[in-house]
Amino acid sequence: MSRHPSWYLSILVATLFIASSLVLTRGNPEEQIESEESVLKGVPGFAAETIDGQPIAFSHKRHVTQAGIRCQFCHAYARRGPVAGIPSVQRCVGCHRTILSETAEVMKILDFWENENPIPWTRIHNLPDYVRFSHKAHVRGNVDCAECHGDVGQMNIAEQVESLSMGWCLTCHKDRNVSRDCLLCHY
Amino acid sequence: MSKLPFSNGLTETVGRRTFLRVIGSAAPAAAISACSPLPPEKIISYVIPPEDIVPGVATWYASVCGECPNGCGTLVKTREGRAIKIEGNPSHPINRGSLCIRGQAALQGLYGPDRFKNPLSRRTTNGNTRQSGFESVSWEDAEQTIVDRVTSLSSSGQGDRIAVVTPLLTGTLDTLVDEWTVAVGGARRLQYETFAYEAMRKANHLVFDRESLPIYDFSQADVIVSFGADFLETWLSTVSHARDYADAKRIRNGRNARHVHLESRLSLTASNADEWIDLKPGTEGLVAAAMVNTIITEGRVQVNGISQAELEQIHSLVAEQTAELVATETGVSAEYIVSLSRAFSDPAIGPGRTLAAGGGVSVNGTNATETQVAIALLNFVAGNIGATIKFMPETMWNSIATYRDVLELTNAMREGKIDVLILHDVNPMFTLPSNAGFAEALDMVSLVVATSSHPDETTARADLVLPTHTPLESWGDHKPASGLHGLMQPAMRPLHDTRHFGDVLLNTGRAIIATTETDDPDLQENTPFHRAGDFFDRLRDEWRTRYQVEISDSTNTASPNSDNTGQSELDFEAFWTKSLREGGVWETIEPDSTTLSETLKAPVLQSLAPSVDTSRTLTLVTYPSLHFFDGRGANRPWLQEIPDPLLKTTWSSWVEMTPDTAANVGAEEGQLVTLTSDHGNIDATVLINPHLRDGVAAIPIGQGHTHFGRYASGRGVNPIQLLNAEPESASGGMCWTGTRIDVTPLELRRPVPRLQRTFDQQERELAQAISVETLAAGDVHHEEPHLSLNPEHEHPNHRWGMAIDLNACNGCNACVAACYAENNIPVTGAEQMLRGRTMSWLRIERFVESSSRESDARGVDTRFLPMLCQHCDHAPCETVCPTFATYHTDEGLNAQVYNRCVGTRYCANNCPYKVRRFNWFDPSFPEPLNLQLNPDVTARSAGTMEKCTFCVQRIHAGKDQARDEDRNTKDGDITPACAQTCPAQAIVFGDLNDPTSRVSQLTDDDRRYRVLSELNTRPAVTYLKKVVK
Repeated sequence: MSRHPSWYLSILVATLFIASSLVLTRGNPEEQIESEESVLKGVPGFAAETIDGQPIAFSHKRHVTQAGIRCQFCHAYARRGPVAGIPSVQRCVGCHRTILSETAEVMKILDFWENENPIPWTRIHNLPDYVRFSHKAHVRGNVDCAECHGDVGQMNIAEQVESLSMGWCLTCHKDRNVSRDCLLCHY
Repeated sequence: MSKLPFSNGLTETVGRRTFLRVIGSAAPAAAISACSPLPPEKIISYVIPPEDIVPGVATWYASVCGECPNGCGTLVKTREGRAIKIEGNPSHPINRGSLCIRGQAALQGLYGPDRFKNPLSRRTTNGNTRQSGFESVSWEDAEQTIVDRVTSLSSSGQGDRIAVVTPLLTGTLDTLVDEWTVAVGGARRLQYETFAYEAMRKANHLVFDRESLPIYDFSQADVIVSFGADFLETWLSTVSHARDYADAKRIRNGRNARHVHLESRLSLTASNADEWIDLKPGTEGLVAAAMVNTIITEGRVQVNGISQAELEQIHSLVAEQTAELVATETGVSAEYIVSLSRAFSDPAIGPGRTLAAGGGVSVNGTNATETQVAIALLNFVAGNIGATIKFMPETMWNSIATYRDVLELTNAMREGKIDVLILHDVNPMFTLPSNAGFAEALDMVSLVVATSSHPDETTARADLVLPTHTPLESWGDHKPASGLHGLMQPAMRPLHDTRHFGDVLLNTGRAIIATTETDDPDLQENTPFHRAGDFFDRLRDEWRTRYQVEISDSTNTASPNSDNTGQSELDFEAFWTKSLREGGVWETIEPDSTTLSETLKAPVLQSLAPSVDTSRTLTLVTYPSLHFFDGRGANRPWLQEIPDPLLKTTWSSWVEMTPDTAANVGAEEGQLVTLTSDHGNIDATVLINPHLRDGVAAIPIGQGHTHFGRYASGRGVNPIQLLNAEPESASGGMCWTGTRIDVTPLELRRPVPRLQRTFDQQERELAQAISVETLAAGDVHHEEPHLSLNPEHEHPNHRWGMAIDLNACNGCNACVAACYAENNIPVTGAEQMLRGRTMSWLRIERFVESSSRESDARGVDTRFLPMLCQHCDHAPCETVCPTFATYHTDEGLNAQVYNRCVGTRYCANNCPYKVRRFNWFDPSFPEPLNLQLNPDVTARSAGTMEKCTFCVQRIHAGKDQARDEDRNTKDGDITPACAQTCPAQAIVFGDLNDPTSRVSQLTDDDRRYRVLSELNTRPAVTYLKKVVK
């Protein structure tokens, strides 16, 4: 930086600036509920909403670590476009039509399928509208999913691990010596 | 102080960023909400993912533009199932990748907020049907209404009491409409276009025995003489002309084409001419005839093997029109006519190297056909027929009804001979003169059905309104010229409960057939209404036939597996898929040989001179609008917002007069005047336009709507109301010019929003020009950059730059519309425009230099200067930004980071090019116009500054694709929206670090200069001077 704005001006503009310059985390996730057993057994009356507001008690750990499914099997668009994509109901049903189709949580999926309804998941990782992020570019650059999303394979309830703040992005961009131009993400 | 998450707290050297963060966290309650996480959001999965959609990645569909009959090929960019941008199809032979301003704005027809959403039927209360409102009905009921009425007529043998009016249609839909009219027992049918070129068709019939319109090849012409033809605006295939014209104007071997334009008003096309002759309106034909006469008497006829008899035959037609005689009637000197004739038939350039284009609305007076005959003869004697002017075996223009045919239908309606009238996508209530009596005639028709996607003056008078798909939602095909078969496919699902007009015909046709008994064996089983399937199936049937014809016609065409005589369905599928992907099938067809008609006789030029009418004070010239065509574009907000290319007016219409004329009638700029003709009167605002003949008042066509949605209704005036309903006698065309009017000034002012008020450069040399001679002599010198205190920037990888050729730019505004579409630029509206507020990132400045080269030719050195962010190396905006929101990237872009901008507007104040735009308000995109927004570009909010980014999203996309292919970007990978659509190819973008790129080479061109180079801003945009004679 060759120029710094003077301090008093910074103070003047600070309050306006905050809204757009600070992106904080979702805060402390609630105490993780040991729900794996519940998911498997399909305990009647289990309220999915209690699991971090998700419509279905979905466990990444179950799918990734125990069943050995790779991230991009479900998040199939990650290498092809900016958006990783949430798996379609069809993809869930592709397996669950036969696998564990009697459990309460899977029956919810089958319900969505039969009624031709999408599943209204609650978004965990979100970026402000003025940030343009492309999964494709990061997959192409061999950034492991876990570097940004944490070890999701070990999570029963997906949670945000990294801050996803601009400073956090830039740390990695600096380490890897890739562009840190504002226009890379803001346009 | 609260704990700062994800920071190590205050470090010893407190940076600006850390300081802001501390202030932010420590600030009391006001700041707390800003620090909380983003609100929870839902993320919705697909139930079944569409095969051809990757979220965030564009899908393109080849199709055909439906904004005018010229049939340009398009590529429609869709994102997540909605169309967001239209570009020209580079492989289409007509438009070759470009689109005009109206084609770009077709998206706003699709997403028009006032579109019909379901069928409407007139509520019949109190017996006064025309005054009552509409109520929603189901499609079944609506179609049943038609079926009932049509059946009762056709079963009683009164099929001729039904009439169908469509615009110019070709291909499958055209055939289907014909089949429908036969199936219902002989309904009348008209193809109605406002600009129907009747006089040209008639003249070609008289001179060449071909009632047809030829193809004009401007690229091969060394001398272009235009008799009022606005061939860069609305006259025939304008995008194609613009490309060819730019080719002709390019310097080759030290010279370029000479363009002379004769018209009483300086049109956009005339602005591009080397000489503009403001002759008396309606006398264009006299000049053409005198030119023919001169060429023959001087023995310069350029036709090989012409017989003496033919020569004498032609000469006898024009013998009376000597240059001297014509000079007095036209206001063009005899010397000029003779010298132009010689240039037009110059043996040095050879036969067939010139082109005379006559037409447009401006020469459509009472002598329109005679004028066109004279122009056709002029082209003939210069040997242009078959060279620059080609008659093809087929032309779509023949099927258009003449204006007289429309009047005959109107009379039949008035006489009660029509019971059911179906008006598809036409707006005669707006485009016919009021005293043609169409409104009264409609009252005599018991069932008026209007099928249209949007409300207009005609649907407002209908009994039943059937909402149809827009072209972007439709299947179809279009055959604009011999050998060209464009295939139109929907780019997205219909937005509303609309149907394809073809499906309406099929549904009603089937029901009518089922209830009608007929003895005609042709009608018993052999119609499409006896077969199953919708319009899409009919289209495929037609193309299956075409495929089989192609296979049987030749074995060496591009048809897949043409050696397979089995012609299996599999082969057809391959052909169909290929046609869909490429947007159609193109074959090269040789033009027909064209000879002089044997029956060409003297009376054809009997009334060549315009009738002299001194009844009122001024002669009215109406001209079609580049933006609105015949008015059909007026409900597109971009077309209203983007300034008129000549007068830089927006959201309005007006009456133009010269300063002297205005003074004579006692009116001044901005004053409201009443214009009265024998046929009607309107109130319009006076605009002073010096580039007009004295004694003439000019009004653009296209505004003055009453029922055309929120953007068009109540704006400007419709000059068609002043015109005579009487058709021109020879051809039956409308008389657009020559009506006499009186002007009565009113004590009222109605300002016209105008974004540029002077066309004088004040010697600032913004838009520069160089003469052919200077250029050929190599007498060029360029200003070197001055020393600067600013540090030099380094551009290690790329350095993006642009070159804009002012000699190619014709000011057509297509780039501006493309920029609006690509970059989510909001419209500000008439009220803000009156304050001079626009959000456009790209504007075209117009400057007029006075010149006194030819005694007759008015100085029309008009220069169009596309002005956008210059991406300066030493940008004045960057040094004054307190928040670093604007800065220089290492790829040479002047960046604008919206989320850093706090809206001090220092940058805009310091920008010498005035290309930065401040959002005083949050932009508004009334639903569903918001669906057009480009998801790759941030929609800016109030309080931020914005400007041209060189389409940085496209730069990213180009680099992304190159990396996917594991290579560096190459020249041509990245094209901004403006450069992409430019019909004249005036804008070139690329990497200045690559010495082989086109932009690098143009940046070293002898004609190069930079705007305001004395400020030493070192722009990345290089302009190439216009070449003047």
